Amino acid sequence: MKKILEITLGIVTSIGGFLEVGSLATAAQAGAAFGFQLIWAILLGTICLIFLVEMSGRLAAVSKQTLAGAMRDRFGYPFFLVPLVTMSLLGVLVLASELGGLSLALQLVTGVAFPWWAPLGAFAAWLLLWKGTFSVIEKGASLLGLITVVFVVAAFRLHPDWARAAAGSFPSMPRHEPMRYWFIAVSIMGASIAPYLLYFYSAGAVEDRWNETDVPVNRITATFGMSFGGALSVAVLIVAALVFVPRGIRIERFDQIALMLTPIMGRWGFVLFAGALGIACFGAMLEIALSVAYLTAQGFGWQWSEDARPRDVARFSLVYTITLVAGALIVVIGVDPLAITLMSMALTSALLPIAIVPFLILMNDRHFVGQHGNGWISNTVVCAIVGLAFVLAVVSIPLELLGS
Amino acid sequence: MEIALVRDLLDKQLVDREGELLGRIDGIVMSYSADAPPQITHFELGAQTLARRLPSPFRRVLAWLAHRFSPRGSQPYRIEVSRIIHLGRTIKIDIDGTRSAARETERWVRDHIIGRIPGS
Repeated sequence: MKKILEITLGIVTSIGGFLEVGSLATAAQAGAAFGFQLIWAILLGTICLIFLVEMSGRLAAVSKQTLAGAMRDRFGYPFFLVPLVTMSLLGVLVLASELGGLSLALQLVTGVAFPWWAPLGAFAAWLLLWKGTFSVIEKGASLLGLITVVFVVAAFRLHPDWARAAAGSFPSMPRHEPMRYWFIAVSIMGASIAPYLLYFYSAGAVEDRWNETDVPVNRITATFGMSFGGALSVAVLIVAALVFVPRGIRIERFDQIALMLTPIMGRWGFVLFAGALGIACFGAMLEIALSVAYLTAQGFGWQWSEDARPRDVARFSLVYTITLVAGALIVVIGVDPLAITLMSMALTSALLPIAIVPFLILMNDRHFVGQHGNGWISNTVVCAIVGLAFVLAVVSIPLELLGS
Repeated sequence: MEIALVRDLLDKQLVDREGELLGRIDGIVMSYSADAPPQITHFELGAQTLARRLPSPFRRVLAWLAHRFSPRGSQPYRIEVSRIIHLGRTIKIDIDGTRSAARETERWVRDHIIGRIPGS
């Protein structure tokens, strides 16, 4: 009985925490520009994420090590600096995207375009990290995040042509705007396969003292939680396709996306969208700031814990504080939030091998995971999808930059 | 017991006698004299030791930063290997971490930055 409750809670947590500004914006863009044709990118990204999340939980349960700690341990300090620096910088960039989304949500709800929404949002996130505990942050953000299920409701209300949606689940060549098509596909995969999630997940597993008996539970929660989460992204894409394509709307600004639920649910649709966006972004900000702090503190062997008082984990607290300030600065400078979101998601795809290749090596090293090492299926699937995302990113990012 | 220096010691997590995290082994010090076999004497921790492990342009920048900003300046902190209590995935050392110089930077950050923010 307790196990069932644990599994349910784990799945609910993953669903509520799945959507964030990256998956929302990329799925909406894809739907508006290419109808159902890019559903396959969400599916591939989600499958890869299922395997990776399961792996990071398994690593923590078997080796009692966090992903960051194990990387330093296995590959040594000079190599460790490469993922540390790239993933921290990427984290700040993605955090800025989330903060942009949160600011927009606050602006939509209040009707006030206020340049200080971003610093205020960053401060609120910092306060929660400063005062809150890990389970309050993880469970609270995810339970509130269940509001994002509104997109599934909206998708069903529109009675989509499921046969066409199923056809979009298989990769196909673009019929128009090939550069845009591949760039959005890359951004979608980058948004799904978020490396920061892996550091966050493994730190949580170590903090909760998982052991070998948690391996099966971890497998079930990762599989179902991430699958349902991916379904939310697909729902966003379907709604965007059915709302924007017939009206001939091309999404060039963030606030256009905000209208996607209005034709279905009226005034309530607008409020629900703003609520879902705000909560999803806020939750992601907490996770990203913590992930950067986990990565740094665990890599250098400092004391770390989200449950301890900040003064007892001073350097750890300093890192998440700096990360939030840096993210807020980018937003205050006034970069276009939609552009920075799409670009940071595509960049994630391009940088994925830096985070994932060492991780795969760890998961095949008996010294770390003993008999719980990866099978050939997980190795092949992760290599293939990460490889595809990387190749597409390296080709399409320069073209996108040249085009715009 | 056979120990591989890089696999089993370098970059491993150190904990103090209470099990609290101390830092990681950034460097290993050996002593050598003509009439005895070489012997490992100390573990080293600190930004200067970390700087020495990088390729040269990075090494100089980090060494300068450490010299300029680290409360310990250019001195790495050394722990005698005789203080090892347990060797495993993490390495337990017989010292009191709350007073140890291994946590000097942590204390500095606490006293000068984090501790000054309300609610810490």
